[in-house]
Amino acid sequence: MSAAAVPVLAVDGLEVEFATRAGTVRAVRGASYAVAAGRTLAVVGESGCGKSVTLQAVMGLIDSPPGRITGGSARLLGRELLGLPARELDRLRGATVGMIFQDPMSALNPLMRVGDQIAEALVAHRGMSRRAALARAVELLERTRIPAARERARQYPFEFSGGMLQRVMIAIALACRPALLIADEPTTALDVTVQDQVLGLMREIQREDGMAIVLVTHDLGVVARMADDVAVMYAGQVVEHGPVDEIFYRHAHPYTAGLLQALPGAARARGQPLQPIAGSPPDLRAPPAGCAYAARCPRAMRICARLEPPGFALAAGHGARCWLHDRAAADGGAG
Amino acid sequence: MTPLLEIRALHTHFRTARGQTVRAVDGVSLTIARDTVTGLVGESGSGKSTLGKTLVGLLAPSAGEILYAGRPLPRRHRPADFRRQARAIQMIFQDPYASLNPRMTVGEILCEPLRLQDGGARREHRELAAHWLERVGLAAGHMGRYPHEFSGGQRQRIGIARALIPGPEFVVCDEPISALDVSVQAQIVNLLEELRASLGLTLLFIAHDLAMVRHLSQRIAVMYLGRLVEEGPAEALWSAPLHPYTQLLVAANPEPDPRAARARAHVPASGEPPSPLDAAPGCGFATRCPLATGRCHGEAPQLRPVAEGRLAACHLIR
Repeated sequence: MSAAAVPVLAVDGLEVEFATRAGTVRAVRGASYAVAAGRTLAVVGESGCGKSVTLQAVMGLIDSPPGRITGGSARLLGRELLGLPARELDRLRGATVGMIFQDPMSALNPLMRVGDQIAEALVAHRGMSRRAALARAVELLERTRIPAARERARQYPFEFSGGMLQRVMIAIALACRPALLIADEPTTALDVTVQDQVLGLMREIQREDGMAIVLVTHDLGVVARMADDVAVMYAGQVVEHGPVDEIFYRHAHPYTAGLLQALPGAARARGQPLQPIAGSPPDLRAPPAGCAYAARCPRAMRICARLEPPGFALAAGHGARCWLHDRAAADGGAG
Repeated sequence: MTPLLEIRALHTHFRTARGQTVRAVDGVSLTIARDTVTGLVGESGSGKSTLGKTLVGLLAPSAGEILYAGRPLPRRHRPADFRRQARAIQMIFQDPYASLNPRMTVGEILCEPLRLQDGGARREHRELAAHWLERVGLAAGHMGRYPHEFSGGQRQRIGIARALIPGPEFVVCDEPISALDVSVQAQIVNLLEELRASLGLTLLFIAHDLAMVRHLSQRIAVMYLGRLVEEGPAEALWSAPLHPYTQLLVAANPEPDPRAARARAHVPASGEPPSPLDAAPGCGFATRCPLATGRCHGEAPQLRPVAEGRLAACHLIR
């Protein structure tokens, strides 16, 4: 990313809460990340870490109540999204931002022909005539490599396989040539061979159109395949971010290390049983005072339980929220 | 030594509402030795779960037979068959949310299989249940709690305890970790490995995560459209897959290693498994196979020995 370029999406210090009967859950606690044109940012983390909620908040998809954005900012091509009126957000979603989700069957209208669902976006956002939009819909299906696109456009979602439906979702998301594609676990429900096809298709279209992609996933294999940059989320925060090779080969946060070491490949290299992360994530109704990972961290120091670590910059674009990178804390706090 | 399980030309078919036949398991033969883990992989719809359910008696086979320790299992299970078989064969399910009765306490869930097997006092059952809760890493004090009070990983521990409490020798694990987070998957796999070794269990581990199957299994069987296309020792099958479908599966498996991901070739952008409804006469994989010949489209290949300890169903393997 050149210094002058405005990121396509920049999330800064985002805070999101949910009111529940059992108390207020602080689902996102100051999350920050950015993605530039033509690049893919993978947001990884386990269930409940806030990776999906962050994007839902950014796109105005959180019901309020119970959800509430209590702080931070999210800029799309320099323009603040938080607090935009619903009409403005509607205009952005589908035009400047395309979105695909894990379960395409529930994202599509079961009673509407697939071609019409793609054309709908073009009529709404581009003011195309229905006829022109339908012709374009067939082109988009061809572009996502759906065989017999003209016939397929006249079919209903139930007539498609899961992989084919996700291609339809991609066709809809790309209909208006968005600057940003948000993909939330897009291949989690697909088999590995179909997953590889869909991921390859996303990359190919990104090369041609130059859009930015934010890819939410829990699968580190998918991250390795797709990401230029990675943001690792834990307990509502980005605990480490950086270029993909830094994250995999020079990770600087014990949670990132824990995720990678829990994989079977790492165990095989050691000739040992798998190495799980002990314990479970904290209750976000009452987040701990210090580092949220301290209770599970094999390298925790005394300071970690008391004070929340700030972000430490380690290399170009690589940073981690961990006291191990504070020289004074790491020298003095180990005892 | 007699293998623990011998599956011979097993078929499990379903009739659809329109009167079509789905050949979900379409002639599977597989031998499972005692004290081993066999991984069963394949895409959704390949029939791997149907095969697992047929083995435990939850589905009745349409043809073929299953020999358990040399004796044939009943084709249709009566309640008495399940009661007798409970000490031999058990199953762990994929979804730890759906497979535990939400209105029963954990104690009741664990005592149920014991209660159904006549004999033993209720107090003994409760003691055994408490013991098993601790054995799978929970606390005896959890007996009075309901499933919703536990996390996904803890529920899967309860599912494992329920399967093992009658003392089976053979356990079908149907995608037991697919619904869990990465760090929790490792916990459950380690628990399964530890229990398997200390109890001398034989496992059929059904999964689509090839890396985890490779980690856990001695042998791997690959299923496609209701048939086994390849079977062999886990390491050999992974590092030198013989069947073109196994090769595709291994190539598509996303390695958590960006350098390796950049270096490797990816799956071509088209081609999906055909529906088991419109089964063609030839090899099920022929429509997607880059090497398919006329013979592949006309004649279904049989699973046969192709190398030391390795079986494959492909006309092109010499």
